[in-house]
Amino acid sequence: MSIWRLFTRDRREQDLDEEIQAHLAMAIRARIERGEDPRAAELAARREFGNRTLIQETTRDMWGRRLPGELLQDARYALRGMRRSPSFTVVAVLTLALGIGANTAIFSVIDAILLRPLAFPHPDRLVALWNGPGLPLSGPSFLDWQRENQAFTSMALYIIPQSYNLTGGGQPSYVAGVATEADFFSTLGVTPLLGRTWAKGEDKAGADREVVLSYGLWQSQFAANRHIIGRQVELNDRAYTVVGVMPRGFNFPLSVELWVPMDMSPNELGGRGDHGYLAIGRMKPGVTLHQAQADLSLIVERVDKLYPNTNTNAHVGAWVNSLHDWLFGPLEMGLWLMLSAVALVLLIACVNIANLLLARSSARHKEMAVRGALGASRWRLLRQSLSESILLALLGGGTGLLFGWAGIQALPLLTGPVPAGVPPIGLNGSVLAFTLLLALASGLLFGLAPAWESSRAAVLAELRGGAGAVVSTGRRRRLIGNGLVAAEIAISLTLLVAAGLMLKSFVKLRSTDFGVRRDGILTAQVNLPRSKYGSDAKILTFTRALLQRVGGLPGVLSAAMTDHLPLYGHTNGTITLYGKPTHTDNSLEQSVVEMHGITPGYFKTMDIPLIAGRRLTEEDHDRALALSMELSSHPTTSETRNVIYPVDINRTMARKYWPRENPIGQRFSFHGDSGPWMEVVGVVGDTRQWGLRVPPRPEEYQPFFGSTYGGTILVLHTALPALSLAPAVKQQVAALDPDLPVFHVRTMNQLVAQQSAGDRIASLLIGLFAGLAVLLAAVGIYGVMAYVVAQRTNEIGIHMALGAQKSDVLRMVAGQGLKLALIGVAIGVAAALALTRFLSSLLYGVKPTDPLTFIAVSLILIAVALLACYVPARRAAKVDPMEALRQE
Amino acid sequence: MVKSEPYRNRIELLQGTLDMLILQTLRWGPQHGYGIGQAIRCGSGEVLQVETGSLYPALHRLERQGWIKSEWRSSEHNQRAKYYQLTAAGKKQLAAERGRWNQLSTAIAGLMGAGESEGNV
Repeated sequence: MSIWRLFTRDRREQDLDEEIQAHLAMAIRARIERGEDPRAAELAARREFGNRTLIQETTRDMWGRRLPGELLQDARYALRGMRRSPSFTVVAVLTLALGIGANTAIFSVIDAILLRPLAFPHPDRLVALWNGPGLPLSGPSFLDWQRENQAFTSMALYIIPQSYNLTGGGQPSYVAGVATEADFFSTLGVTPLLGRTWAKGEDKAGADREVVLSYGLWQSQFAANRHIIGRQVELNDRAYTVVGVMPRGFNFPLSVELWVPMDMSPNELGGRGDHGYLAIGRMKPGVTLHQAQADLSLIVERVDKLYPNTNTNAHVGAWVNSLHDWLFGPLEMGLWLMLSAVALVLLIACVNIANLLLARSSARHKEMAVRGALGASRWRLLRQSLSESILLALLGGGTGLLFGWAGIQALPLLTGPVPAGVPPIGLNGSVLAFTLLLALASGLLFGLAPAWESSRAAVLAELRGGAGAVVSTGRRRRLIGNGLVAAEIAISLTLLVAAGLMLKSFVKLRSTDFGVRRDGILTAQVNLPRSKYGSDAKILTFTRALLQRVGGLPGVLSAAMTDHLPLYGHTNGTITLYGKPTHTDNSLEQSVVEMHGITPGYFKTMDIPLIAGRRLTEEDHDRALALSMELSSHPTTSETRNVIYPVDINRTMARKYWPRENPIGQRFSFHGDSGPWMEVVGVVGDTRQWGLRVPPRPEEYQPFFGSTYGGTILVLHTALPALSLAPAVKQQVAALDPDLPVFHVRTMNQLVAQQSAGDRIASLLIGLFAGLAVLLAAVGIYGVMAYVVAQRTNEIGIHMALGAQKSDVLRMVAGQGLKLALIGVAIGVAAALALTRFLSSLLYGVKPTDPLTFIAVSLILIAVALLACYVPARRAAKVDPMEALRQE
Repeated sequence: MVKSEPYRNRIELLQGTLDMLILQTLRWGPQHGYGIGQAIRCGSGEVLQVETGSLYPALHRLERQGWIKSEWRSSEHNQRAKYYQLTAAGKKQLAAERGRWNQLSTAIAGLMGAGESEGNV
């Protein structure tokens, strides 16, 4: 190990040794020549010479203040000290490494996600475009902007990712794909690894169908074949030509594996009320978000005036936010919370090590006092103690880097794939610098107090001499130790409260009633390719046949089809009420309604109660089918104004739009005054469409026959374990159409778990950190109490000699621990009360000052403190008074 | 607790003084640490005892100042030892210190002599 050579004695050291050896030899020879006995001569010479080590040390001091040499010397002392107490060193280094490693791992994530720009060229100019907060774009709105904007160099539309059935590669597989406009890639500033993307104009109907593959898909399905370009593959039974492969790591939007041109013909994009699109834009250099938003808002206003009749939703506007904020804004709070948590864990680790060092410094008190008395300056002693701490911290930091690295490797297991645009998460320069600084700061933090104490002790000993100094230092040391323990309890209480709140919030979230049945629900998705199922009638025929087959399976109580699952629906539109002024309220929220297509059995299967009116029936489906066929066969001649579809709505929608009227029989439209109209035939219970946290929104249910936006999803209710039906469902689908694979087979409980996965990770991690903090605090309390007992053995002996019982001693020691715990808990509760309100945005259904959590956590900590006191207290109670007194 | 130090018939050297005595001793030629200590002791009639704890730091300090230099040689008894010898700068330094010492001792002698005569009145 070459590092040890650095610390081994150098030549000058050997020289000095030899010089002294020669001196002694000459002195001995002189004495022998004078007639002394050789052995006596040697002893006398040595006595005369004095303290050899001290002389060497003071001589060494004359060699000059070469900084590296000095540091090496300090480091060598420090290493020697460490080798003397290996178990202390191992414990301290591991404790530190845990704390530093956790900080390194969390910081590397923060560094990549929050601190560094997206890994696209000029990422500050990239934005996401909306018609309002949370309101996706309508096609016409986007075309207006694209044509008339002044603030953007480019913008590109894309659609919410869908599943594609891919054949022609390795195995047939289902992959997420997205249809995008031609400018999508150039707006982001990415170029393909192989081949090309498509040009403008190819994103039109009638153009050749082209597909760009992700790096991962290219690797897994096409064996990274470089001659893939130009090859045909089939997506949903249609032939596509592979034109490009994207570079590794590019998966924007998240998890997407292939990109296909989007049909940008105005007819396909839908009306101004259909908010089904997402868009990205690249601002011109120097343009601010604010200016971009103002630019687009002006266009919206101008268009409103131009087409007063067709653009019915005046409250639809422009909303621009930075791509970075849109992608990662929701993570920010949680990430900072994690960093605060691990920082607190490290703080506790430092406090513990400070305590250990204090205990050790009092053990080495004599050594320090002697060195002080022999003239070592206080600065010199301080520096030596500190260099030990710093070396310890650096060792901890180095080991911590390993832990951090392991943590970073393990991270994707917890969080899933890393989104495109995130710079690589790893140990880069800034993370290394962070870790180094953290290690040095920790070293100073836990080293300063003990170093100060021991150097003080040395100076005091010199000044006063004797035992007085030792006693008073012992008391001071005890006081500091007590303070540190109280601080540890306070910090771990704060963390434990945060963990408790997160856990409670998570449990509440998991058990949130989102309006549908949870147990015994199986969901499965199929993809009906347009080539085979091109018309609504064909889709309806298929779904009816499938429902009949699945409904007849043993154990199935009911079955239905839907285009969106609860918690996972995102298609909505803005509505116009029949016979009512539209613009009473200008807020966007006022007119957005979630759209949902279902078959009649849906409410029964999902246990959504009927509140008023009636549920949709098979007859409603037939009628709707007839209407839509009529509409599509005579798109120009038919009078949509008079077309009326029957729909069910949820309770929230009924209360919002017809608070004082009977909602049954009311009409509304997604296409302004032009219709077609929806007529309410029934009101059903609320479900949560936007996730567990988001309260129910207005929602309408219309007859299902394959929606453009959603999927074709089978839901069934069974009394059997839900997943056990999966093979039977696949068989039934295959019996109808052997080419139709079934995918995304999941139970409702799995869907809920997936929804709350982020909260699960957060509460798991913070719980882990809090647990670590409590463990460290317990070790700290144990250490201090054990020290106190050892210090007071004498006193305890006297007590017992004077008649104190074992139980009195036990109570005395435990009482002191309890006092410390109570002080720590009081401080911790105050701190937690001040801090937990920062958590409120992460909490669901729990107040940040939840008294139950606070009380429970306080009790847990007091119990832990008492437990940690128990062993030292027992030891104190076993003190033999005679033995203790004799020790003096 | 504090023990009183036994009286010792020995004069503690001021730091600057020891440096000067070492330089002075080396005027007669190269010498090792032990020899320097012995020379000062004998030369002062056993009055001046040089502690090794002062001698070696002083030697290394003087060497660092460039007033003396050292080399390893064998002594008369075939004992390898580190010999120190004056450098040109050291000779100059010695001259300067001697001048200062003369000034100082004259001044102190004058003061002490005056005190003595006063006491005699």
